[in-house]
Amino acid sequence: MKKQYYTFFALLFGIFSAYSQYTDNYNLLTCSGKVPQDWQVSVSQKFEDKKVQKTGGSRSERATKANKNIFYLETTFSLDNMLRSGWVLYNDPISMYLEKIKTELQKKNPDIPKNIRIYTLRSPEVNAFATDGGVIFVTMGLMAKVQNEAELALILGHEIGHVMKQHSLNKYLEARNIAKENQGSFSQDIYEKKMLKYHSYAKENETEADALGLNFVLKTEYATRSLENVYEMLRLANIPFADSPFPKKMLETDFMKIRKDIFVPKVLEIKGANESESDSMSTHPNIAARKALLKNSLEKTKKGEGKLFLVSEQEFNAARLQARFELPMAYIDSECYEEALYVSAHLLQKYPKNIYLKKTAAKALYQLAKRNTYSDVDNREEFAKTEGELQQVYALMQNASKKEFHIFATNYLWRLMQDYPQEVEISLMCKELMVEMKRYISQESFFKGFEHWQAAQDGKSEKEEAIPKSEEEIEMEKKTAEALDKLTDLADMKWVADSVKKRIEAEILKEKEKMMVKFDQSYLKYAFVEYVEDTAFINLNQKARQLYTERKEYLAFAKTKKYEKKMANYDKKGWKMGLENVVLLAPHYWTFHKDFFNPKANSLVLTAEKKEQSVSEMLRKHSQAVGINLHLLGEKKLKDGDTEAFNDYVMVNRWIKEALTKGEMNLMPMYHDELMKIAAKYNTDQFVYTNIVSIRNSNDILRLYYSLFVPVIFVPPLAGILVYEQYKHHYRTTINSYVLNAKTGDIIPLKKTTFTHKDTDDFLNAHIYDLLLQLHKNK
Amino acid sequence: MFRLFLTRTYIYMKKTTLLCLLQAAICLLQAQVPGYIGKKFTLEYRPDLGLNYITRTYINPVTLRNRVDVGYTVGRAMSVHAVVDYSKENYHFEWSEPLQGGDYYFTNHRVGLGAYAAFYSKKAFGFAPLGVYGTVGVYTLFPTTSHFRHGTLRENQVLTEITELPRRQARGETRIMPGRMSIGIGIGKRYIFAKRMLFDYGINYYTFFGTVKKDTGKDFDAVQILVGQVLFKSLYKLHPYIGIGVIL
Repeated sequence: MKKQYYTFFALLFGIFSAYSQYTDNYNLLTCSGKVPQDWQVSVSQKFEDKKVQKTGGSRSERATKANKNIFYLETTFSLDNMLRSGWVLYNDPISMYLEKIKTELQKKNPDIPKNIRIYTLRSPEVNAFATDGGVIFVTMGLMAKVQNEAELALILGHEIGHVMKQHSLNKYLEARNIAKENQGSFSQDIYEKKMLKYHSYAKENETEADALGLNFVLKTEYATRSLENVYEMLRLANIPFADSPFPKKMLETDFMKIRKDIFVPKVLEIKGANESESDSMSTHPNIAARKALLKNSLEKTKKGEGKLFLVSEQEFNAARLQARFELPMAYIDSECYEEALYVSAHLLQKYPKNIYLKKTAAKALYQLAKRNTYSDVDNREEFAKTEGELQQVYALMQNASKKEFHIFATNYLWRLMQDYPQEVEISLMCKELMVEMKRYISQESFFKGFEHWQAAQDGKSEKEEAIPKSEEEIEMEKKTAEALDKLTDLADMKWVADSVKKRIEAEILKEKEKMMVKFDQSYLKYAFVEYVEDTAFINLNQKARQLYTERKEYLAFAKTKKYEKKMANYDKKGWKMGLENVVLLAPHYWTFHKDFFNPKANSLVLTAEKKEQSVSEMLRKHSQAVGINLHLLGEKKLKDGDTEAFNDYVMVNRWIKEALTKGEMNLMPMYHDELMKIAAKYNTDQFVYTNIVSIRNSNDILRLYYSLFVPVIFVPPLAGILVYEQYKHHYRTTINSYVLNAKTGDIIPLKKTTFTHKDTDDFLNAHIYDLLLQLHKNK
Repeated sequence: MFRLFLTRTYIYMKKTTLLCLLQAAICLLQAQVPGYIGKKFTLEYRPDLGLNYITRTYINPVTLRNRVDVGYTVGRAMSVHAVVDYSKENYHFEWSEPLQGGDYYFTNHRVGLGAYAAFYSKKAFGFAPLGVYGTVGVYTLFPTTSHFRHGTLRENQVLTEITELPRRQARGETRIMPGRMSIGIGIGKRYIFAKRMLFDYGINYYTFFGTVKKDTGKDFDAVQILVGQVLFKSLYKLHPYIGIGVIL
């Protein structure tokens, strides 16, 4: 009896602690426990295990075997890339819960292979898919939307069906066979026929997997009443998991209210995809057909009520909630900032004190403001087609000017910073947006609103004035006007074709829209009125403006010859970083054949893997010789206890990718706090990213003939050179290496070189040693 | 003769040493030198081939020159080298002068010294001492005919056969001005294999300053001049080479 009490309290405590973690904060999911075999075995080993012997059999059988090997190599390589991308989680609560559902299916379906592995994919898309080796991925987007465990069982059953019937392999072989038919003919009719044939085959596979999946579920005690929801969920895949009104108030203050015409009075009704739309050119049957098949099958079986949850309802709810909390960051990682803002705002209504959600909303706003500043994103199309309350966020992005949006975002971040002064991420983002503010508001007009406000308070009426334009704004408008003039002149020219004229006119319209002041900006002057006497705000504003000027000066300097010379000098003599301790990501190694259809092109994947391992060895060996303390993250062959290092690698890799692609935007790392923990752990702020690309190509014989044709007539032995050149491979190897500072965000291009040389070991040794020497030397 | 050789070598070495030191000083001012994974010295055996295109004069169509090359990496894309070489060549003259004419067969021994700087192509590889490089250097040669193997002199239409001249006389008489400076340029490519072994190949072009001077007061002046001319023609032209060595 006592035992039962203990169990009850333990369960209660477990549930309470599981939910209490969401009220104040949330920790993102990471991989945990022992590293699974999928991460431990190399691509070449996996390929060796799968590959079939080409010898024996008829010619067509041998061709099929060869195609199978190509498929195995390609899929093994793609899967390995995905596993190491940082998007896949293992031994996390969601993956473990999904594994339990799989076990429930296996109990009643012993024919389900035991080697099926299920991992969660940190993608906001609503999807699940299987690979030929038995690995099934379920996305966070799907987990966040699914209604019960029975639905998940059907989805997993469907994917298991794909694995068991080897659908991906069969589809690949079928595609190859179809491609061979009428080879050499490029007529549209034949192409369409081929596509129809392929899609028809793919649909057969899907229908088979649907039937198998349902069969697995029917053998269990899972209820079937809600299974149709799975297809409904797919139909509404583009709609977030909830559809609550966007809380506009989060961006407003007592002094600044967002003008009404920014948001749409009524959002588009949620309709989702048309369930009966033609699927002739789709790999999946349409939703109506799948629903009908499900309905027919269920009617035939006449199964009883069953249970919606066999593993545990609590566990399901906890996993789904976790997936929903994961979504904002998954959206940010996928650069879907509008969705990230919407989902964060939605969850904040339920968990108003959750700092994680406040930060994800802030990060989404920050990214949107930065994107607005540095690029002209035209999201009219997305705005027009987005359904549900999410459309309000798109409306905000569409209708608010860059200046307006920047002020909303900065204001939100400043207020958040006041509430959470200890949160470094918030203060960094706020400071960064304050720096950019100089583009939109001049120093004189920053508190101009205060004068108006004070005058109104004192009963003195003062003429309403909009905020004067900043220097940058004037400059930008001047440039736009000049561009507009040029376009107008071009459109007026007689010789310009009508089709081109139409395009030019469309451009003109776009530019004019940009320039048009369609709204009264006067309300913006009250945005920061309440901080007019706040010394912290004033000081920060001053510092930010100074920083902006310094950055601008530096950017101007970067365009000068002096800067070019300085960089060329570094390139010639090498950098002297003077580092004792550094985190280096194991170099990404790619080996390509320029000729995509070359039979050897695929096998280069294995060469690249070997090279990557040997470069890691070189790094380890030479770091000792140079005397630098090197932490190598992200090596190919992981061991059982490497989970922590793998998590660190995932985080650093994610940041580096972001920093290198958006370097000019001075972005704060989206996982700043996590990155700082890693930096503290390894006792360094410096992270090195290296990639090596080796391209091999055969010579262009025609080009050689042109150049040697005449000399060969006079000097016949020169023909030997032609023969040699024909069989000789030409190589081009590129080594790029960057040092990134996690604290300052500085990026130093340590190595950025291309060589007309094969990536031989002596070549790599020399460069790896030089790389480490540049990192370590200080004089 | 040996003393003379040493004296001239000493004078020449003074010049080349100064040149090398100057080069090294310039290069050492540069930033860190990676070498090949920290190794900067190279030692190579690098024989080259002199193509003897005046075939009527030469007995062998090619001359093999044995060369030892010691290099030091002084910059990211530069190395300096000192070379010592030795070659032996047999050649033949048909001299039609009435008194001294006849068929002369010589075996010439040559010792050479040189220094050069190699500049490495960043686009082709990247680091000294590996990859594609171009060289510029100064060289000198100390040739001696140590053996007058066989000669048939025609004197007043009477054939006299001399089988062996005294060694000392032969050396002195066929000596031409040693220590002549020449410049050489070249291109080549160097690889590493088996961790620290070097493989090298390329081609050099040599040209010398001035003309061959007469060594007056000797009996075989005209022969000496001819020997000298041919000697330089054979040595200071295109020389393909291959080399094998170690990196230290």
